[in-house]
Amino acid sequence: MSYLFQYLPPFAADYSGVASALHDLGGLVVIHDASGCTGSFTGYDEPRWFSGKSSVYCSGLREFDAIAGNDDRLLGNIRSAVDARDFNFAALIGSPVPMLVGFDFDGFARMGEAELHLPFFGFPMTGFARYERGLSAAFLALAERFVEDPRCLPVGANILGVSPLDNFDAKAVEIIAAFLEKNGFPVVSVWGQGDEWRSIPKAARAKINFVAAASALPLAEYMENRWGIPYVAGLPLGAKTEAELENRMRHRLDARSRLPRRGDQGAATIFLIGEQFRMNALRAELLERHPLLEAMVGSFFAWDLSFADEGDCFISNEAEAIRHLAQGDFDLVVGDPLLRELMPDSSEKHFVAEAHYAISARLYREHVLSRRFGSALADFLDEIAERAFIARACRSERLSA
Amino acid sequence: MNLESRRRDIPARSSGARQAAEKEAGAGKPIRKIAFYGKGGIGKSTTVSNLSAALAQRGLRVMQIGCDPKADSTKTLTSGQIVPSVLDVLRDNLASRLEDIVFEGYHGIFCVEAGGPQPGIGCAGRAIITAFNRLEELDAYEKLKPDIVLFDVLGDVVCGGFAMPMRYGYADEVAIVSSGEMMALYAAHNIARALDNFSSRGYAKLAGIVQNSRSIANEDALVRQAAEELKTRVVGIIPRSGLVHAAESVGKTVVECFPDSPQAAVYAELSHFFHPDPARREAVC
Repeated sequence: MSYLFQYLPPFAADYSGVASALHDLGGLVVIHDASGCTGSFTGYDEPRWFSGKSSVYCSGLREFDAIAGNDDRLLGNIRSAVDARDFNFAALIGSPVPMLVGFDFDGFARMGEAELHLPFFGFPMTGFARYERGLSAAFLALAERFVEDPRCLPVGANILGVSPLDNFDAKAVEIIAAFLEKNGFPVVSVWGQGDEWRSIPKAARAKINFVAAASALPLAEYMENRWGIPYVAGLPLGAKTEAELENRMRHRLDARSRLPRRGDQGAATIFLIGEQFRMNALRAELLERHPLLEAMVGSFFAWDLSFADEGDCFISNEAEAIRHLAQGDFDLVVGDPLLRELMPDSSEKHFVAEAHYAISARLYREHVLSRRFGSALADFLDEIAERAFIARACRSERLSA
Repeated sequence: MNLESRRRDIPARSSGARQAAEKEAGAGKPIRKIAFYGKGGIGKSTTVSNLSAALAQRGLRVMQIGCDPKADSTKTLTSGQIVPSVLDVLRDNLASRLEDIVFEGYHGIFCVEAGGPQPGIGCAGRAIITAFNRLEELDAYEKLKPDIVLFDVLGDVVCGGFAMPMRYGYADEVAIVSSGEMMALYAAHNIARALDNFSSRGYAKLAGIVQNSRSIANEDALVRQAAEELKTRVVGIIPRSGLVHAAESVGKTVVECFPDSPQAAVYAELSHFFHPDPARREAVC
């Protein structure tokens, strides 16, 4: 029953993560499905689908193809597309039906590469895992295949993990890039959206990796192990997080050293639900501005314990979220508006919306991340604090009565 | 763009989507992995189990993985006891541990049975994939560090699941077990053709035919001729022997039950084809 969601929609799935990571790189991307998974990606999980060019296709898998293993037909269709246009690579992404019939994505990619003379990836996604697994797999595959060994002194920074699925819009990427440049790190490459295909091979020339979301941690660790590029993780949301990140970049300290997050044991307790790095940054800024708060972070998605603090938790399913929210004794919850349904009745008003694209997709498109950077952040932090203190006061009154 | 204009310097593939291959490469010592295919009832499990026993007697760390819903590939290595299959264990507890699905048999052979669905329902091929995935998730090869893994695969290459052991990163080579009987050789042709079809996918290579004799007329010549047609060779001839049945009736291999018999010597000799002993080669030279 733990897989059953009664209130929340299905989260963005692993195939959407892969397609999202590859979206802007000029490849032929094919989701191997009947069309439902491709439809989920294009219709719900990918804001760029409506605004720019894309080469994400559906294989049009039919019952007989699955039963008879008509790989030749699929390869023929891909060949036709590749003959018609110039692509940087091809990628075939899995979904539930190919997984169930044991489709060999790696073998198909090898065959496709041999026949088409084009770099070809096979991603054995299942549709049962969440988007960050697809993002991580695609980032790693690109790095293993295309990033070249550096032949010059390192310079600049890569921005890793800025997928729209984690609410990063072009403006947010610009803000991060400006922050890095201000600190002497011109951007070498961007992973997750918007970069030129030709900058990906140069990524190992970077002096440092800037990891904006937990989905890119495996990539950062791979690049650290292979080329010795250190990384810092976080988001420069405001003065506090900027100062911390600047300090760590300047000294290239331990990548896993964490932002200070806990305030004094305070008068109000807040639970921040969302992408781990983003919520860590929000907590740091919140506690810097309102030290009398206490804040914990929780996430349904990519989770790294070394970036977690006491009281933080990975949430594996809806039932666990409901339980945690009921037992957590929080004065306020910050998270995607759809999570409000999971709150205990008594806390109906004690919720601040912070949409997450991987949960509610286009329903709340106005909640783009770039609005949370810099001066605009203060109002949001004050709103959270005010609502938390009011909730706390109401609760104290009820208790005394 | 035509194909010719697309020819370019394609960056080399990494070791692929499958991380097991990478881990294995990083571990230093290469693991030999051989998959045994052949017509149902031809004696694959008997041959593979005796080979495992012979390899283990040489001091090698051996892992035998049965890929058959019947889950009886390794029973002569475990005193006739059928061990719980990976699917059986997963059915009860998805969070199974390595020790729940790998059992030590004769001479420390790591015995695994993939198992399958309940008869008549489910998907046997998918069950093999699930079992293999579980072994990978549990880092079975890295933790157990076998020198050689023998996959004992049910019958023919009937679907994606039964082709799993020959995919990239699993078996390096396929051996076909066949007698001189027509249907056994027909199955051998089908298996060899599947391997040929899959060559561009990086699948295992055909190592040769292991002849498990049925004492039919002109058997050696028939199998040798089939091997030539398939552009491969006969890598060993196992004579028909009553000792096999005698050993199996007490739940053992010939190698364990009759270690000094000529039949055990045949398996011992064949084991050197699949895992050559460098010292032995030097001695011969």
